[in-house]
Amino acid sequence: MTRLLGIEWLKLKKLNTLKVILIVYAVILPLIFYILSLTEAYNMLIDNHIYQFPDVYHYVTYISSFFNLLIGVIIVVFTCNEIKYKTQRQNLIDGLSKKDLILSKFYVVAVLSVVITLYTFIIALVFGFANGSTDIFNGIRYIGYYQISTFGYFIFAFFLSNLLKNPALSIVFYLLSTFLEGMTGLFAKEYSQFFPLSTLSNLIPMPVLPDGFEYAMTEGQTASLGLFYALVFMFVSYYILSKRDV
Amino acid sequence: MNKTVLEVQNLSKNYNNIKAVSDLSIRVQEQMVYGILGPNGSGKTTTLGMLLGVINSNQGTYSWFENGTKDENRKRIGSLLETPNFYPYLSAKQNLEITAKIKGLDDASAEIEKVLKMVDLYERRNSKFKTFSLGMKQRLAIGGALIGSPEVLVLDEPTNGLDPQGIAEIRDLIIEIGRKGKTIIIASHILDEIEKVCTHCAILKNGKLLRTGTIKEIIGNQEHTLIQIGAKDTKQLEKVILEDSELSIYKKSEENNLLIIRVSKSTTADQINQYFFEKGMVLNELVVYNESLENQFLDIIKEG
Repeated sequence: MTRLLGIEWLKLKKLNTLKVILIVYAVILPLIFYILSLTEAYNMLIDNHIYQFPDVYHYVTYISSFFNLLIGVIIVVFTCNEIKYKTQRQNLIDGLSKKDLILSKFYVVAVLSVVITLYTFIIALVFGFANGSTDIFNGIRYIGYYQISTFGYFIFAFFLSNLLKNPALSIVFYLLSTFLEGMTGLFAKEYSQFFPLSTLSNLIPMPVLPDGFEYAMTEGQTASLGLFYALVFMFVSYYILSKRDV
Repeated sequence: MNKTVLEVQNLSKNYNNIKAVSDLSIRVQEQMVYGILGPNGSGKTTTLGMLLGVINSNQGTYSWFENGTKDENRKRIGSLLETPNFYPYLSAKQNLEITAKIKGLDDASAEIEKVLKMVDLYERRNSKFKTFSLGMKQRLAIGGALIGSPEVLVLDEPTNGLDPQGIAEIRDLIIEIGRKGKTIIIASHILDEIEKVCTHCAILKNGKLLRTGTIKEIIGNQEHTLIQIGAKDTKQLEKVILEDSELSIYKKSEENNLLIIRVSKSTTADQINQYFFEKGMVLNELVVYNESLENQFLDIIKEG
């Protein structure tokens, strides 16, 4: 595992897309979360409790999940680069197996989702403490759910890139999938809640549920299903690659 | 008896209805410099792609080092397949660090330095790959294949994109590596390259194996040497040749009034010069003509 991650690190450390997007992400998340307090909705609806434990966890992860696509773009660019530059082929020729190729991206996705989750966690802690609350364990489960959610989303981004081999198409299909699941949700939420992206998204539901809709699954079940989907995307990616001439 | 490095049996690959490679069987032994010769589209790259695990075969088997198709076999093989494949945003050195890490070399900086010097890219080691010319990219790819001194080199069109000096350098490098006892497999459509570098050779056409054997067996067995000659009076020269049953005209070149003649293998240029001088002809051109090799190759290809 460390060997494969070491190889990926050599490729990633000079990748400008990674640097730029991570910096944008790092700046934009706390900024947007802070700006919330300046809005009218804040005064009317949500109030100061969003900056305090336990709600801060839910709100930070919810805001953060809007920027999953940004990190997804890193995965898409990184994966499609390997195909475009034929370096995937070269890695294989030089001695990696197809399983190594999938595993190494799996590790990158895992590490990125851990980094993003940790960063989100730190933001939550900073806002929580800064606003005078101390009960940090209450509500911390949202950080765990967020970990699964980002992992699932990023694996999905990898799956699309590996399938479509083209960054623009992958991003379009990423957005399209979200959109289609969302549309289905408008008509048949009782079914769409089991769809992959909806499952991942429902791990961090809207903090204020407008329509009083009740999910069929418990939080634990949703988390398990989300993990299950992530693994399915991983195995299908491996299957596609193993059948393909690279 | 040398050890078998590569054994290929009945390997086939179809692209829809097109048979890119059909029923190919070859054996490469240790210390051979093995050429795979064939025109464009004859299945050379497809064959090597299957042997290097990037293309799935439809049929047949292959085995490296009598160890089957295991992925780790490829760590013992240095390969250049079709194009130089590197990360454009990384430098030559950084790219080779990745190759070295995949090959399982831990501290490779000395190895990378050595290889970059061998392919004459040391001065440019810190330049990004995307700033390289085609020839430099090709040289880096050869450098990548050399990382870790692998037991076997697989080189697909290694002199592609190089200038004449680069071609000569790379050929010398390959010959030198071959002399050190490494096994080398080279695919090329250039007969000259195969002939200069290889000890053994397989000729492919339309995915089929036409011939295999030592270079001598395949392309070195002509009975005649071809000599290109010229004189002021070509008509007279022709007449002299036709009068002698030992000599015959192979080809006439209309544009520069030169003749290509067949002579027996042991004949030297001195003897020819003297022969014509005694017949009262002064030659103003006398060179050994090499097209016959090329023709022989073309003949084999046509037969197939």
